[in-house]
Amino acid sequence: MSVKITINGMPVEAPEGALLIDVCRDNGIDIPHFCYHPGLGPDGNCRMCQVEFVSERGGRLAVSCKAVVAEGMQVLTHSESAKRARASVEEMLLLNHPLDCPICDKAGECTLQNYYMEHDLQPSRQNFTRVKKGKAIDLGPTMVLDQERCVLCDRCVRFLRDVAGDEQLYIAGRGHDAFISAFPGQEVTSAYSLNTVDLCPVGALTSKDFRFATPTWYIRNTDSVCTTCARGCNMQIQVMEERIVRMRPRHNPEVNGYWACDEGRLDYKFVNEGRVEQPLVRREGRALEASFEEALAEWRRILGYAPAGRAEGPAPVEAAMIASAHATLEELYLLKKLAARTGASFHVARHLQDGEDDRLLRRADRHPNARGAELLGLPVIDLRGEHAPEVSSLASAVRVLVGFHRRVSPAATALAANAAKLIVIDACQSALTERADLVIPGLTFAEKDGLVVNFGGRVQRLKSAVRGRRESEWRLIDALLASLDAGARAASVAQVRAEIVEQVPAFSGASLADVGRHGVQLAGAAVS
Amino acid sequence: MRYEAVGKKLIGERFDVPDAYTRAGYERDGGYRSLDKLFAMKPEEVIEEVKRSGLRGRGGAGFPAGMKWSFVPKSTDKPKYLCVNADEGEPGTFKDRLILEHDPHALIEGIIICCYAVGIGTAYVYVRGEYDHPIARFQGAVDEAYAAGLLGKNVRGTGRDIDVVVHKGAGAYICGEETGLIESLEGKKGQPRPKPPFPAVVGVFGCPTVVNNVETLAALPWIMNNGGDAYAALGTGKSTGTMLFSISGMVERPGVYETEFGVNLWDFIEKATGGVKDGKKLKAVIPGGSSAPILTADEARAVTLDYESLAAAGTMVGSGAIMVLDEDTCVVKALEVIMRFYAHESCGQCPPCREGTYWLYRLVKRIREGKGRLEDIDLIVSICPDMLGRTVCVLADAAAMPAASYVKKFRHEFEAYVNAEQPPEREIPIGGIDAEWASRL
Amino acid sequence: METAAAQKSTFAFNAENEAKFQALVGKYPTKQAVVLPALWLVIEQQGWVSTDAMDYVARRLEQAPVAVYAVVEFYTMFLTSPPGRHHIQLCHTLTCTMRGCEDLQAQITEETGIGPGEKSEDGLFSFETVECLGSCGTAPMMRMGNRYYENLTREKLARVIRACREERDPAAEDHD
Repeated sequence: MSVKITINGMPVEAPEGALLIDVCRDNGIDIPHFCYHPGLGPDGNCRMCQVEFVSERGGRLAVSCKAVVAEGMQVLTHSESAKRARASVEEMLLLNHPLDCPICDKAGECTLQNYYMEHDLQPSRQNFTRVKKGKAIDLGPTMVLDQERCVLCDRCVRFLRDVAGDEQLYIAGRGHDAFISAFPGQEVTSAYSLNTVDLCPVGALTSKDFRFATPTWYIRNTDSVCTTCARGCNMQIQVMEERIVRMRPRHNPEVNGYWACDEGRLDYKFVNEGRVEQPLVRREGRALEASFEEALAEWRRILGYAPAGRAEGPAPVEAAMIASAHATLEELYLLKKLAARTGASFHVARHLQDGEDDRLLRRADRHPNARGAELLGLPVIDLRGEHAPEVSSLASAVRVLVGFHRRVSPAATALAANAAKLIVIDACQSALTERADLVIPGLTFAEKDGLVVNFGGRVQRLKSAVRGRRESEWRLIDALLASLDAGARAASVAQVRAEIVEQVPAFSGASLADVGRHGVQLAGAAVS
Repeated sequence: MRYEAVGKKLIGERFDVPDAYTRAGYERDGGYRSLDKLFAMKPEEVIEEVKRSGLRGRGGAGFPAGMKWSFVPKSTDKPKYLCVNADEGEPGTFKDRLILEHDPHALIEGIIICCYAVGIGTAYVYVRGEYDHPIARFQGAVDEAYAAGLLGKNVRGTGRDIDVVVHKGAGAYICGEETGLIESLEGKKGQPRPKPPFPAVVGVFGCPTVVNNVETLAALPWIMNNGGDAYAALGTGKSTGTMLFSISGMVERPGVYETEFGVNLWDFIEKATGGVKDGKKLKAVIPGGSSAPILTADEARAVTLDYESLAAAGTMVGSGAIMVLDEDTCVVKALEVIMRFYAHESCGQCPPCREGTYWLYRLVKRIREGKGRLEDIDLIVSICPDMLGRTVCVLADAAAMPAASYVKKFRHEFEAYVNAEQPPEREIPIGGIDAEWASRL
Repeated sequence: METAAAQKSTFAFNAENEAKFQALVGKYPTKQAVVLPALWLVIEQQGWVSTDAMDYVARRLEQAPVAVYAVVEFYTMFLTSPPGRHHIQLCHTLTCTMRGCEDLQAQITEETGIGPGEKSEDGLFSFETVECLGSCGTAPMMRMGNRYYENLTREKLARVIRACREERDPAAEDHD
C-alpha cells in the first residue's frame, strides 16, 4: 500500500506508514539529524530534521523523523525557513561545544562538523565562556566520555536500554547543565558498549582502543566480515599504513542489523603482531628459514613423495589433515581435494571453547565457517575440550594442522603431540608452530579474499584489508595439488569458487561469484 | 492568601467559608448536588453541556474543555485516565492552591463529572510537591469522599468505579506541561513528548487521557447545576464564564481576584488591588504569567481582559497571573529573573530551548551588570525567532516571547545600561530595584 | 542489574513506609510509575535520597538503577545530600524579587553564615534559592520544614531564624 506525497514539488509514492525522513532518504534527499537512527527509531529531540509542511494555512515546521507519510502531504525540505531552522539548531549546539577538534577522535567523521559546513557556515555569535563539564571521564573497560562535547541526542542511552538490554548510561540533570553519566561508581560493562561510540554523532563517547590512534582521514576502509563467532557480523576493517586501527559494523539487516559486539570488533590485534613471518623447516632440532618453494618441497618429502617431478598415486605415508573451522570455503575445498588425492584423512575441527550465546548477536560457536565445512560434506570433530576421543583413531605418522590460530585447546595440543611429523599452516605463532617440523605462514581473516558460511547458511565474503606479505593458503594448497597432478593451477580464487559451485551439491546454483558486500543466503541451508 | 470577587463570584464562592473544605460543610452549601442530575444524563449529553458552556482550560492554554474531552476515542478497550494538573508552576500563579485548600470537594465533584462524561475510571491529581498544605487538605477531602461512597467502587450505586490518586511532583516547572506531566506520572523525567499523538489518544500508560487544570474542573459543578448556557452568558464572546486571576507585584493588595471576562484590564486590577502600591506610577503589566509578553501602562489601560483581546494585543490570558511593575521596577532586572527561571526549568531535550534559554539569560544578565554592548540587545531580538515553534514543547516560546516584548517595548532601559558610564555598584534596596538608578532612565 | 552498592545497601523502608509502599503499588498499573511516590517515602524517612536508597527503590520496583538516578537528578526537591536540620528554600522568581527577596537572601547569609547551595558547619541550616513557589500574593516568602512562611519581613525572618537557633518551633514566629 502506498500514498502519494509531494517533496519539493516532486511527486513521490511512499510506502504507507513510512517515516518521512526515510522516504526522503530513499529519494535522494538526506535530511540532517542527530537523534534519529534507523536502528533506534526516532526521538524527536534534536530538531535538526525539521522540514516545512505546506497546507492551505501556510507553511509549518515540524520534525520529519516523527512524521508518518499521509496522502497529499506536501513537504519542502530546503525552503528558507527549513534551512534557517537547521542553521539555528547547529548554532545552538555549537554555543557550548568545546573547540576540541584538533584533539578529538571524531574529527573528519563528525556530524556536528559536517553539518556546520553543510547547513550553517555562519560566524560564531557566542562570546561567553562555555559551559564546563567533565572531560576524559573513564566509563569503563572500553570507553571514555567527554561530557562537554555531548549534544544530548540520547542515542547512547536508548541503544543500551532498548537494544543491548543493559541500561547503564543516563542523562543527569536538566537544561544546559544536563550531561551523560554512568551510575556513580559503576562502569559501562555492556558487551555491546562500543556501538554507542559508533552512534555518538560527536566525539563525546570515544573508544579507548581507538583514542588518539589516528586522524580519520588517513583511514582506508574495506568491507569484510567478523570471524570471532559463527554469525559473521558485517564489518568495515579500517587500516592506516597497513595496520588495522579499528573495525566497525556495517549494516546488514539479515545478519547483524547495525551492530556488532565489542569482543568481535576488538578482535584484530593479533593481525598486527605475533605472526609467523617465514616458512620454517625443523630438522635435527634446528629451525631453518625457507622459501615457499622449499616449504612445498619439504611437504612433499614428509608425505613420502620425491622432492620434485610428478608423483604417482596416493602418498606413501599415511597422513591426517585437520583444518580449523576458521578456514575459508576455498581452503577447505582444496584441502579436501588434497586429502582425496593423497589418501589422507581430512577433518574440520572446532577447537575454540564455546562463548556466550546472548540471544542478540553473539553465538556460542566461535568458529566462522563450521557450517561451510558441513555443507562441503566434511566431518566436523570437537576439539574444544581436554580430550577428543576421535583423535586417537587418526593417523599419527603425519599430521597437518591448518589455521588453528592463537588459542590452542588441550585437545588440539594433544593432536600435535601425538604426531610423528607435524606440518602446521598458520598465521600466528603458538605452541603448535613451536613444535612443528614444517611451519608455513598463513593469512588472517583481514588479509585474504575468502568465503565463509555463517550459522544461518549465509555465504559471506572476507576481503583483504591489509596487504598480506605472505601467500594465501589456498594458493599454496593449490600449488601442491598441481605439483602432484601436474594439472593446471587455478588462476584466481574465482576459479576455485566456480569449481565449488560445480562440484558440491550444497552449493549448486549459488552465486558464489557474486557474493557482494551483504552476502548470499543459501536456500535451505539455515541451521537451528 | 487574600481572595475577593470583582463582580460575579463563582469558583471562589466557598473560599471564605471556614469549613467548606470538609464534606459536611461542602454539602451543607449545596455541594455534590449536581451528581443526581449528572448520573441521569447520558455521558455525551454532559460533554455537550460543557461544550455549550464555552469553558476553556484555565491552566494556560485556554483550549475548550468540552472539545478536548470529545477527542477521546469513544470505543477503545484501553482504560481511560484523567490527569488533574495541579502543578501550578507558572510564575505569578497561585490560584489553584486556593481551590485545593478551601474548596477541595468542588474539585472532586468536577473530577466525578469529567470521569462520568468521558468514561474514566482513575484520576491522578498531580500536585506540585511544594504545596504541603494544599495536598494535606485535598487528601483529607479525598478520604472523606471515599468514606462517603462518592469515590471508589460503585459510586453512588451507579455501578461505576472512580478512583482518585494524589501524586506529588518534585520540583520541575516542566511537569506542568501536559505531556511532561504524563511522563513524570509514569515515573520518568518530565520531558515533554512531541505532539501528535495527543494525550486524548495516547496519554499516560499509552492510554487515552484527559489532562485538565484544577480550576477548569472546579467550574464543572456550577455548570452542571446552572446549565452550560448560564455559564456562557457570563463573560464575553468566546471567553465565557469567570476566572481566578492571581494579581501580584507592586500593588497595594496582592491576592486572587475573580471576575468575568470582558472587563477592562487595568480597571479590574485597580478595583481589585487598590492600584499601584504607595501611589507610584504604573510602568507595565504582565497579564498572563511570566510567559506572557509584557504590556506598557498605556496598553494595559486600553485592553480588555479576555482571550481574543489579549491575543490581538500580542499577549495572552495564560494562567491568569497578573504582575504589575511600577515606575521604579527595573524591566531589565525583571527579564533577567524570568530568563533565569526558564534556563533553570528547561528539561534539556532540545537544543533551541536548553541552549537558547541559557544564552538569553546570560545576555540579559550581562546587560544588567553593565557589561553589555548594544549588539547584545540586537542579539536577544534575533535569537527569539529561532526559539519559536522549533521545539518539542512551548517552554522555549515561553522564554522567547516575553524576551522579545520586553526589549521591544522597553529598549531604552536596556540601552541605558549599555550606555551608562559605570555599572551600578550599590546594593539594591527592598523593592528589588535601584530607585536612584531607575530615576535616571 | 544490581549494582555493587545495592548488594550492601543499608537503606530499607521502615514498617510504616513499607505498608505505604505496598498500598502505592496497587494504585498504579506499572511499577515504574511508583518511582516518584517511593522516592517521596525515602525523603519522609531520611530527609534526602542517598545512592543506596536509589538502588533500593530501583530493586523494589524492578527498574534499572540509572533510570532511578536520572529521575532523582532531574527533580530539584529530591535532595542528594543530607540537608541541615532547617532547610531554607527562598523563592527568587519575579514577584518575590520585586518585593525584596534579594535583601532577605543577604540577611539569611548574614544570620546563618551560609550562601545558597550551602550547609552550615553545625548542620543547623542549609539554604537554597528556588523558583516560584506559587505564593506571589504573599511575597516575599520561603519554604522551610514543609510549610510556607509568607509575607516575610526583615523582622519576621530574624525571629524565625532565632527560633531555629534556640530550638523553639519556628512556625510559632510566623505572625505579623
